[in-house]
Parts: sequence; structure tokens; C-alpha cells
Amino acid sequence: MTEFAGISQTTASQQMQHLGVPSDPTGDASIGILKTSMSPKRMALKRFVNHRAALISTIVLVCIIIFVALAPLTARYGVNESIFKAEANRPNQNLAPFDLAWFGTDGNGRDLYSRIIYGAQVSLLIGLFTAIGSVMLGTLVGGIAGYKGGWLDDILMRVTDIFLALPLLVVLVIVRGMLKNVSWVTTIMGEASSVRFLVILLTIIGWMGVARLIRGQVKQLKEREFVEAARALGATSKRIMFRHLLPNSVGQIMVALTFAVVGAIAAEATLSFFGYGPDAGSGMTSLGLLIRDSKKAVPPGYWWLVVFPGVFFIILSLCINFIGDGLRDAVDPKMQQELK
Amino acid sequence: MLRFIVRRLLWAIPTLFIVTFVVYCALRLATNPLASYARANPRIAKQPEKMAQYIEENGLWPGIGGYIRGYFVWLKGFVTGNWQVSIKGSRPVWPNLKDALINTLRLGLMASLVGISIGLALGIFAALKPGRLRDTAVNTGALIGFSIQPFISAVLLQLFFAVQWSKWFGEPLLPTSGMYPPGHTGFDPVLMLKYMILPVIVVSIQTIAAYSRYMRASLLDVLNSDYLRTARSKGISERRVLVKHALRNAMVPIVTLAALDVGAIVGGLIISEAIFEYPGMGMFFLTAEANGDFPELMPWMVIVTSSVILFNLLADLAYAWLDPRIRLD
Amino acid sequence: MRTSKGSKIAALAVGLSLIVAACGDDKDASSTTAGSETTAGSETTAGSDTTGGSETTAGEGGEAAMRITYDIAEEAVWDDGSPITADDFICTYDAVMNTVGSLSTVGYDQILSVAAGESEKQVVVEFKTVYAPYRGLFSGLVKKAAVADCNDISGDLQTEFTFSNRPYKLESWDETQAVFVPNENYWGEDKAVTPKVVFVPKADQETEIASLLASEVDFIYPQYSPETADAVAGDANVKVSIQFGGDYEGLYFQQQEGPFADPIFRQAFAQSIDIDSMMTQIYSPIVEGAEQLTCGPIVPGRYCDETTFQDTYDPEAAAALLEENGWAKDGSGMWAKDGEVPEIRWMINTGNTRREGAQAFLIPLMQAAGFNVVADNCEAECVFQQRLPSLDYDLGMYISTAPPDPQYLTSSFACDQIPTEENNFAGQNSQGWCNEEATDLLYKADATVDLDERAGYIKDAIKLMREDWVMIPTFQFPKSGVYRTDKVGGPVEDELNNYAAFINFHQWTDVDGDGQIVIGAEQWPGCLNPITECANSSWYVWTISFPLQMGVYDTTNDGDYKLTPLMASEPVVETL
Repeated sequence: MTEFAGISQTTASQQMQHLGVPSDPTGDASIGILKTSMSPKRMALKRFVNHRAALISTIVLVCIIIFVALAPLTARYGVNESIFKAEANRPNQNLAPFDLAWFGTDGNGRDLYSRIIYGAQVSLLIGLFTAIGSVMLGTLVGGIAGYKGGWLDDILMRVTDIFLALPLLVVLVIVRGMLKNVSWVTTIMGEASSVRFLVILLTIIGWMGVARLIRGQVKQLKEREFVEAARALGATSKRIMFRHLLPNSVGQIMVALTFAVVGAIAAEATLSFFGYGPDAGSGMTSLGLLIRDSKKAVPPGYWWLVVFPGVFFIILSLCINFIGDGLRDAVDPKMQQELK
Repeated sequence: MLRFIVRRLLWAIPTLFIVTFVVYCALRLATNPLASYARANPRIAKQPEKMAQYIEENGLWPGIGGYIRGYFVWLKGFVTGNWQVSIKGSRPVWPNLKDALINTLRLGLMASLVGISIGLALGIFAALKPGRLRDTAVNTGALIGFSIQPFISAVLLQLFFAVQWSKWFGEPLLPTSGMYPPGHTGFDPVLMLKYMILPVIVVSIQTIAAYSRYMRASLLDVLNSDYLRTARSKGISERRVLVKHALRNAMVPIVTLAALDVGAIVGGLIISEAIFEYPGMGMFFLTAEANGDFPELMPWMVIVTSSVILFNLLADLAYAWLDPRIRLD
Repeated sequence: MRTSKGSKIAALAVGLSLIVAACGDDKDASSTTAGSETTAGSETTAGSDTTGGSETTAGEGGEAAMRITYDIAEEAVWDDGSPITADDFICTYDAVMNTVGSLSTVGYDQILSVAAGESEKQVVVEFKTVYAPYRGLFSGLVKKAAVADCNDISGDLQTEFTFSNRPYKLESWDETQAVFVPNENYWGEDKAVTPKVVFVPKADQETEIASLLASEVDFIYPQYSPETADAVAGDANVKVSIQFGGDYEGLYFQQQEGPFADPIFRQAFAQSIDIDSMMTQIYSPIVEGAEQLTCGPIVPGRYCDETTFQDTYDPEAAAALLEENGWAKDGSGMWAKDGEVPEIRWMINTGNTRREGAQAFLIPLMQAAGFNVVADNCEAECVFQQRLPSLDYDLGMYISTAPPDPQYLTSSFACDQIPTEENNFAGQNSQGWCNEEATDLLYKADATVDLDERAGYIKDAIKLMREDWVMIPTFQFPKSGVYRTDKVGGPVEDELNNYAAFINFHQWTDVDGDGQIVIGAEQWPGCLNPITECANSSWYVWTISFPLQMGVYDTTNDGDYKLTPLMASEPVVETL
């Protein structure tokens, strides 16, 4: 079942599309244009802004990103800095909040507040790079498959059917095992516990969902009059692809990108939780590692180690999910119309 | 219709072969069965003739040709019921795998039942008054549900119902882990349900979130379709419209989606099982993977992928059957 | 020299179950996954049988150098009432020596013959060499009538363990629990008290503790941490007992290749490790007033000289030593020679947050001291079964569990125990340290029956370890038992220090009267066979082997051996 929020959510919507559930992305956009005489882009923007939760989420997310990007300024301590110099002979481990540290300290005497900022930095980077990689690969494959159709399309659909239905953790763990055991891969991807390895691993899995989404979009677009017209005028496939199909899919690509970010962040957390994530011994951290550590903090009742990373993680994924939701409504105005 | 079914069935067979071959290659690469075997049995590993014999018996030759030959050796053993034994202790794989499968089906079907039914109810509830408070609440709730990863909710639930509860009230309300209390033998549905509650909640959060959104979208779509408008304009009561036409049609994609999800249950509710130590397919996989136990992982993957393929097929058939609009060429 | 191949092997020998749980048992493999059985027990056992092709069988020619005569108690019987006889000793010997995939033949391969003596109740064992650690042999008997063929029991005991000569017998065993019920035919004084004892697997310490707090389990045996104390602090019915036994943690320097192959650099590095601040930051939160273990890779006792590893921290001397030998700090403040800054890969098992914390703490200090240390970790299974045996690390940190007999030092530090390609990476000397003098001392110790003389050799060998900077011991790690006083009583705390852990659970009492005692197990054995490799985890021997198989000697809480009720009298040892 759906144990992976981000990724499964995208796949679910794609499955709906695949099965013919009408989430026709652009089908009725023309009606909107006629009614309001606004450009589709402005329409979409307006719809997005009207989606209040998405708007608030965007503001929150931008704040988080700015905050996290300025880590050395905003964090009070280094990611791996013990704040044990405060008083001699006083243990600095597992301090409750508001003592020496705003969010308390961990089992090694490190400031949790600073670590969440640095952890979010790593997680967001993983999410962003994975999403960009997945979307590029997915758009390429999905675009070609959707446009060309035929056996390529068939294979894509069959392969992704199976991959997307398998539990994500299983796929990740097996692919990780494969990549780890091939020496030349390791030279490209780095050690299995490195961030680079993780990003590539998640991209290898993540593109499939995107590909299906783009394929569906392209398949619909290519039946449309303007594409037909272009073809009739003798435009090459390449030109149609890049001048007509892709620009008209930008909205969908943006939606896919958003959900890919949150999917990758969740996947990183899952892998870390089960000990397949980045290396904590190097002193760095990620949201997944912080959540993994929070499990150990449950029995002794170090609530701050559980609550702060967990809540931050939920807020972050919620923001991105809301933005994705808003974007989807924006590019898929049908639902929105019904609400009026 | 019949032709469609036959064609899809015929497709499923080569798919199965190709998939099992790919899985075979992937697992051999990922687990390195020979090295894992040597690690688990270091004394045998020191005897080249014994290792050679192990390679021959299990078809673990290197190279592309070796993989292909090895696949057929494995396939023959698998089909004839002559399964390879676990690398550690040379135990037969099936008895444990069977138990794991049954346990997971119990938990998974229960969780799906709870999750899907609540999800559908919420979805209908939201779709009936689109744009109103209830719709926003369900929608937002679903997104929040998506954002709560199972490992976060599982840890918090354990903390609350077992550990904290016993601190406050002397004894825990719900058990933290396992399938039965320690020392219990045999089947006991009441105890079994009690031990299932927390894992089911964890899985359900995500399921409810997903299905409430599916149902809402699907129902809204149907309610706004032309034929329902026609029905309404004919003066058929809203209630009748809803029950007689809208819900039925809205369920079409939901049923197919549910079929896909049920097919994936066999793969285990890996996160919940691991945290609640529920001895199902997910735990089986994690343990076998940690040992690099190829002979245990391979049948596991075959069962899981077959189930996925089978239910994909069923989903397609169900869709074709339920939705008369689909063209069966 | 006297270190002929034969005597080397002899020296290696320890009783099966001892080896099994021996040495590098690092219990905290909680990092990975539920039920994953990644003990470091396997780490060391994998290496401990380096006897290669030199298997000998009974009856092979040669003169006996030592003879031991065992007299079995008349009343000693198996759980079905049949008498325990010399046949069972012979069967045990055959099974250990000849079973395919036998975990370890060490010690047994020094035996020339095992035969019945004057009666069925007497066993005469002859050895090729003088074998000092003989108390570890026949520590768990295999019942002849329970197996099809004593020469290959690899197919037996797959899903049930059909015999016992201890107070309990195993009623059922599967992936989710092991149930023990009293052995009605047990002849000893210490009969089982509680009608049922259940072992249940717990994925990791957090779950273990949560289950204990939720009254689902009555007793757990975790690697102690301050979090444990905090977790149970609020519950008046939970008691923590901490004892210092055979567990010790240390930092190990791999010196076959890499930066530590240079003895100068190694010494300077070792002298730059600020052990005191490590004690303050890492170990004192565990136990208040924690002090460094200064004995070496051994715990305090007869074989320990506590001055050996004192005052290892001397940064000035380290800097001076490096400068004398052509090292200089480069622009970034790192020690460099010929323009190169060596990278030191520090390996621990991921998921052990305490060790990750130690890395996170010490690495910045070492970098400030001019050493480019980087964390290079992997899962427990990868650490203990792959990278340690193949010497693929520079700096290591792990806990070892020392058995009562210091013989393990030989298998961990002798020259011929370095894993190489020739011996298929078998051998436990994963530091790659080779000092002929120390090796001779260790082997000499193993062939010396006199305890004081033996202790002298061992102390001398450990002094050489300090001189060569093989390792730095850090802390004698506490063993802890945590239990619910409202559920279980009796002598729960009496044997926690024992190598055989909670071996006395048959004497614990069921306080709450629910008819059973539930013990949480951190790792679950994958199978039951006591001879094959499935027995290579410490949790296997604690939960299966020790509670079911009685042998000649038991280990005691103070790290010694005591005769079991199986024996009518102390075995007679004759040197020939």
C-alpha cells in the first residue's frame, strides 16, 4: 500500500490518469480563456494565488530555504560542534530545550537547532538534485514514449507498472546493493553512504513516475489541433516536441518536480531510518538521520529530539505538498472551476 | 472482451519470465550469493571443491552466460519445488516464507479494509459539498496525512499507547510489537486484532489520505459530467442521482486502483512491520537482505512481483469490464 | 622453535561454545534492520578457525602429550531419561571435527583419541600436545541418539532442538519466540523454578526498552547506555544492574598497509589521541567516574598489568617524533611528508550512535592536531564480516567480549593469524600486527599450564603491544541487565557478568505469577545447529546452546571455570 507519501502520491495520480480518470490537464483551459480573456499563464498564476494554502506554503518554504541557505549565519553552532565548553564538568548530553540550547542537545551534546538547519540543508539538496535529475530523465523518456508510442511506450508502461507497484524501500535497497557491488559504479557515484550516491540512486528510481506523467500529457497534446496543424505544415518531430509539446507541458513538469522533491526527501528519510542513508559518523546530518535518532530518544523521554525534527519534517513536506497541490490545480483548472 | 482478456493473459506470461530473469540478475548482483554463502559458512569456503560444488548445484557461474544458465538452473529448481535452501543453516525457505505471507496478508487486508473504507467515506463526504469547509478539511487532512511518514507516526503511537500509557495508568493500552504476546501459541483472533491495531493505524493514515482524494476527484468528475446533468434536469432526485448513478460510476477507477494496491500488499508493509516487529513479508525481506540470503530473497521477489503483475492484470480487466466506454481493440 | 604448526594450532584451540561467543562480540548491531543477525560474534568466529587443511582425526599416529580422564556423574541423564555416556563425548568430538561447515575445530584438532574408559561413564581423551585451555573443550555435549550420524550433523537440529541436559528443555522455537519448559529428568540440585521461560526477539534497544516499560518482557540484556537509565528512571518497578565483565572497547590501528604501516606516524597518531577528554565526553555519561581501561585488550584480573597502557596521550612527544622524522605541518595545519597528507579512514558500524558520536567528537580534535581523519563507516555486517577480516580500514573501534581464558589473545594478535589471501581471509588478527617475539610469548602461554607463569608471558606480550602501538584500550564496557522487579525475582543479577550471560535463568522466580518469564533477545539466531556456522552469534549461544547443552565446565561470574554437575569429580589431567 501507500507507505511513501510523496512518491506514491504522484504515482497514484498517474495511475488514475493511466486508468482514464479524467484529470485532463489542459482540456478545458480554452473555456477559461474565453471567459476571462487572460493569458493561460496568468490564469494559472491567479489560480495558484487563490489556492490559499499553497500561497502560505510558498511563503513558508521560501523562508525556510533562505534560513537554511544562510546556515552559517542562522545556525548558532556548527553541525558537529559540541557545546560542552559552557561549564566544566557539566554533561552537555541530552539537555532539555532553553537550557544552553534553544531546541536542546542530542546524545553527543550538539545543538539540535543548528543540526536541524544543517540537516534540512542536506535533505533539501538531496530533494532538489534528485528532483531535477528525475524530471530531466523522466521528461525525456516520457516525452519520447508519449510522442512516438509503439513498442517503446509499451515497454515503458509495463516496466514502470511493476517498479512503481513494488514497495519503494525494496527497490531502493536492491538497486543500492547492485550499485554498491559494481566497482566502476562506485568510482562514479562514490561510497554508498555519500550524498552523491543517494542522489543518483533516488534519481534512478524517481524518473519513472515523472516519465508516466509526461507521457500522458504528451499523448493528449499530440492529438490537439495545433500539433496536428504543425505536423500538417511539415514541422519535424523534434520541432514539434520542443516547440509545442514540451512548452505546453511546463505546468505538468512543474507539478512533477514539486512532488519529486518531497518524494526524494521522504525516500532519504526512509533510507536513513533503516540505516541505508548518509553517514552520521562524519558529523554531517540530514532530516532522515535526525528522525532516525529520534527513535532512540523515545524511551528515555527526550521529547525534544522527537518533536522538533519530526514536526519540522512534517511542516516541510506539508509545504511542498501544498505547493504541488496548488500547482496541480493551477494547471488543471477543471477542479477549480467546479469549486466556484 | 474475451479476446482482450486472452491477449492480456498471453502478455502476462512472457512478462513474468522477463521480470523473474531481471530480478534474478539484480539479486545476484545485489546480494553476491557466493560471497554471502562463504561468509556464512567460512569453513566450507575454505574448501575449493565444496565451493565448486555449491556453484554447480546452484548455478552461480559468473559472466553473462553464467547468469543465463544460472537462471534456468534456478527456474528448474523453483518450478519443480526443489528450492534452494537458505545460506545460513541450510533451512528450507518455504515454511517461513509461507508464514510471513499469511501474516502480511492478514495485516495488509485489514489495513486496506479500514483505510480504503474510511478514505472513501471521507472522499464522498468532501465531494458532496465541494469548496466548503468540509471539503477543505478533508483535502488538507489528506495532505497532512501524506506528510506524516509511517516511521514518524509509528514511533509516536508506540510512545503514547504503550510506554506513556503504562506510566500513567499502570499498564499499556496496546502492545508495542509482535503478533501475539510472548509465550502464546496457536490462533486467537481477539489477541491478534489487539496486536494489529497500531500497525493498522499507521498504514491507514496513508491509505485514508490517498483514497479520500481519489474518491473526491472521481466523484466530482462524475457529478459534473453531462449525463448526470441530464439526469438532474429530468427531475430525478439528487439522492437518487448520487446513489444510483454517480457513486457507481465514480467507483470504477477506485476499484481498479484498489486492485493495484492490494496486489502490492504482498510486498509487505515494510516500514510498519519493521517498527512493530510484525513477522510478515517486510521483515522477511529485511532479514534476508541483511544476510545477503539469495535463496530466500529470490522466491520472495517472485511472489511479490507475480502478485503485482497479476493484480495489474486484474485491474486492467476490472476497468475494461466496469467501464463500458473503454475500447477493446 | 617450539612454535611448530601443531602447537600453534593447539594454542588456538578453545571450546566450541567459547569461541562461538568469543572475542569480538559486539552486541550492538542494532543499526540495521529488525531481526538482522549481524553480530560481531560472527566477525571473530569467522576468523578463529584458521587450521585450514590441517585437520586430524582420531586414531592418527603420534604420541600423546597429555591425557585427561573425565568421570561422568552416575545420575547424569538426558531429558528423555537416557544416561549420558562416553558415547556422547565421542559423538561431540566427531561432530565438531567432521561435520561439513563445522564452525570451529580449534582445540579438538589437538585430540588424538576420545574413548570410553573403565566404564561407559568414564571418558579418556588423549592430546597430541600440552593444551592449557582444555577447560573450554566439551563445553556442550551433542547427544548421540539425537542425531543420525555423528560425523555429519549439519542436517540435524534444523527446526527443533531435541535434547537437553540442563534444567530446561526447548519446547518450541520459531522466528517469533523460543519457549523453554522444565526438564523433568534433570538430576542436579538447581532445578527449574518457573514453568515456562520465553525468549522473544526485539529489533533494537529502543524496542527492547519500550517492551520492558510496557511489561511485555521481564528482562533484557542491552549494551548499557545513559539513555537506558533515563528511560527506566520513571518506573519504580524496573531495576538496572551494571557489572563490569569481559567486555572492553578499544581503538585499533590497522598496520599492514595505509598510513599506519609507518610505525612513526602510528605512534604519533596514537599519542595524539586525547583519551582523557574522550573519557569525559563519551564514556563518563555511561557510568559516572568512568576510568580508562589500561590493561590492554584484556580486562582487569590475573592477566592484566594496569600500568601497561597508562599515559598514552602525549601530543608534544608526538609532534617532536614526527618532526624528527621528516614530517611537517602543511598550509592547512596537517602533518605531511613529501607533500602528502595521509588520509586516515576511521571505521565503525553505522547506526551505533554512541560510536558515531565518538567519531563526531574525536575527528575535529584529531584534525586540529594535524591528522586527516575521516569517517568511513558501513553496516555492522560489512564492518565485522568484510572489512575487519580484509583489513580494509585504518582506525577501528569496537567492543570485544573476552572469554575467561586469555587464549583469544593468540588468535587475535599472533603473526600467523593475519588474514591473507592464502588463508582465505581467515584469522582474527585484523590489525595486521606481526611481532615475532610477542607471537612466541602468546604461544608459549597457551602451552603453559601453570597460571602465574602463563600470566607472565601474557603480560609481556601485551607490553609489546603498547610498544608497537597496536591498539589503545579505552573502556571496560559494562554489562547490564534490566528487569522488572514486579515480574521476575530471585538471583537475576548474579550471573550478568558471566561469559554465558544470564545462564542461571532457571533459578529466577516468577513474581507476578503469570507462569512465565519473558526475556528479550536483541538478535535472533537464524538456526539451531550448535556445530555449524549458524551458531556464530552470541545471542545464539545465550539463548540456545548454554541453556540446553551442559558440558564439563561452566564459566563463572568472576571469569573462571567451575565443574558442572555432569562430572562426578574434577577431571584428571596428566602430562605425559
